[in-house]
Amino acid sequence: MMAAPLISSELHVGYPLRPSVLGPLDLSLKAGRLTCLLGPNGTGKTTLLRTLSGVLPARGGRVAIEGTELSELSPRRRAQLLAVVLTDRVTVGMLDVRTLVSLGRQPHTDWRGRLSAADSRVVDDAISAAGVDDLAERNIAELSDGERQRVMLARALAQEPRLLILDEITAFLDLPHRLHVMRLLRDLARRRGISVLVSTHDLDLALRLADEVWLASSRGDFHQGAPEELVLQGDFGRVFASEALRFDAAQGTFRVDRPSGPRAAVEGDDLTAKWLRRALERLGYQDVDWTSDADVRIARGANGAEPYQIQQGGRLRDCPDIAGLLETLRQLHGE
Amino acid sequence: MPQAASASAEQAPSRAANRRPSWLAYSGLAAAIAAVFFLELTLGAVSIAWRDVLAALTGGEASTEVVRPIVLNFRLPRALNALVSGAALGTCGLILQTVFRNPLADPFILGVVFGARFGVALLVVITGTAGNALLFKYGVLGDFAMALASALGTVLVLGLLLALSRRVSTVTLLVAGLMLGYLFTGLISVVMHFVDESQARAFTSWSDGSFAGATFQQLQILVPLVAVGLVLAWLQVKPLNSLLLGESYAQSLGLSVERTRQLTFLVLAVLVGTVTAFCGPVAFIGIVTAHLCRLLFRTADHAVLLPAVMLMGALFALSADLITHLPWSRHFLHMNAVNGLIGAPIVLWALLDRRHARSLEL
Repeated sequence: MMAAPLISSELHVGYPLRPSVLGPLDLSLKAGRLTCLLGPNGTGKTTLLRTLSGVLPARGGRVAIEGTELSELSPRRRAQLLAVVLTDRVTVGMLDVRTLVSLGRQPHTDWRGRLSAADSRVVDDAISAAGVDDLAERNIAELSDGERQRVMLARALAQEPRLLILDEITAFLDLPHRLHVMRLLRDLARRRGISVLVSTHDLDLALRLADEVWLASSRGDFHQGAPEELVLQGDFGRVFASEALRFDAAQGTFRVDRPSGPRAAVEGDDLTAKWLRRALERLGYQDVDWTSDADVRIARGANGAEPYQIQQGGRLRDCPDIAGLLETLRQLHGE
Repeated sequence: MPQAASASAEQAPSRAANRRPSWLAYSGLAAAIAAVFFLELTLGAVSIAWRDVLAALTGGEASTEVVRPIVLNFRLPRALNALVSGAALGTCGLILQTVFRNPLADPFILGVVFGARFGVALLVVITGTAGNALLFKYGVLGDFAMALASALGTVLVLGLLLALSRRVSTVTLLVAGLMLGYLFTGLISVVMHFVDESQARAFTSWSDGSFAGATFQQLQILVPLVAVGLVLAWLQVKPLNSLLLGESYAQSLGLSVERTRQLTFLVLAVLVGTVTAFCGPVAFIGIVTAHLCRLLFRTADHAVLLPAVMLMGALFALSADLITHLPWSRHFLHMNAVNGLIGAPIVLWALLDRRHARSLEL
């Protein structure tokens, strides 16, 4: 059996002459899996990624890639095994996408960096795998931030690494593109049997697509496991808990704040009720059961009447739409 | 989106056509160099017929006897100097721009040439206070020492710039380089205070850049050293290309950033050092050449650009030198004035052009 793509033991990471940011960490990455590194800002995610990719020396402990100590790999050999996509902005004039992606072949080419026919094929594959075929002849100065990130991904793929490490690849992307890139990474991991480690702030996507999650907290503790496991153990809630934000394990999403206002009960079909509750939560209403003691009840109006109805202290008010409903509630409870 | 699509469709054919123009463009540049080189030999205070120039070069019979020494002793060394030094300075411009990730970098603008001059000034003072002018007393050894001192001065400024470039933005580095230039010019004046007048005059006479002053003996040092520097530069094609992505990415591609920096600084020291030792501080050739070549070849690939800047640098230097000694100019122009007339607008354009500005992160 082949050695694991990446194993660390007792690893401490941080910048020289400063206290270590994270550690001790016993980590492992498996082939063919997508791992997401999550955690609030300032918990050392980038520092960890830079250490694992050999750009920053470890403060202590060991990292091994495919069985070889990271510090003992020659720079060229390391570049053949491991590719990175960083948050660094590449700003060069007159550099077209294909030339940039070709630079990914450097660990495999001769002293002049000339591409063989096989190298050119790998470059073409990388370009289409990252979905940037239509950008191939463009100048990188003309590209949007999102396009640049996908081009840098293509360049990393051209390295044909066993291990792909990406820092905040989805930061500049809109939701459809974020989804596209994360699914692309998962499929790449599966199809090519490489292990992919990506740091992201996109918890929702990470929970849905990651095979494994690494979770760094601002208190310095570190959790790893299947995303569902971390949710059920309450690690997510603890790591991201704050005064304004709480993790709703049942929904798998975050709630903005804990409502403490009047109690409201909602009746209606599932979908309508769900969105009405969200609107009420925004106004600070507590959500209570229809049968319990509520300050205000919201229901769908009877046939032919206005669609929404507010019952409060025996009075009924009809509202034409949700905006009107919320306006009435604001007046009732004096905002 | 439709806008972007039509724009790329428009540009696609021109880019495809521009994909393999290298050999054609190289030949064009080489032909232009040959033409200007020949003009350099024929034009001047005295115009010499091209037949006589050819005769002088090939050792044939010339129509008058005065022609041969003018061509061989004055104009040929001068043209050779411009050819070689231009190639060197063009190469330095491109390398500096890549190493400092700064499209406005240039040995003159960043003050590197003044560091080189300072090295020579120090040498003149240290050896000169004991007796006669070093240049005359020590012969070849003196010339060689001058090139070495100049190279050391180059490395000094490069080190200062490297330390600064970690802290400041692209444009601030330019201002810092300008200040370093003033600082070293000031230091040179202070140092010159300690040498006798005739030496000081010899030094200040080439505080402006010129290809006219170099002797055949100096060319015997200049030409081989520049050749070595250019070969070393060519060996750096791959590391320079990876540095286009920045140091972190270059490192992730297997580059030893530290070793590459040492090698590129060595190349710059040899090239800027020798050229500045014998030609003085030559302005703008580096930056003009690098920009013209990127525009002409539409690429950032050093495998294409390095030969291009060597040729373009040589062509630019020969042309600028030709303009300074055109026969009809009543007052002869200083070479840096000619370079400035062409170079400064190009720097301004680079600063003001929107796409450039974006890549400078202004």
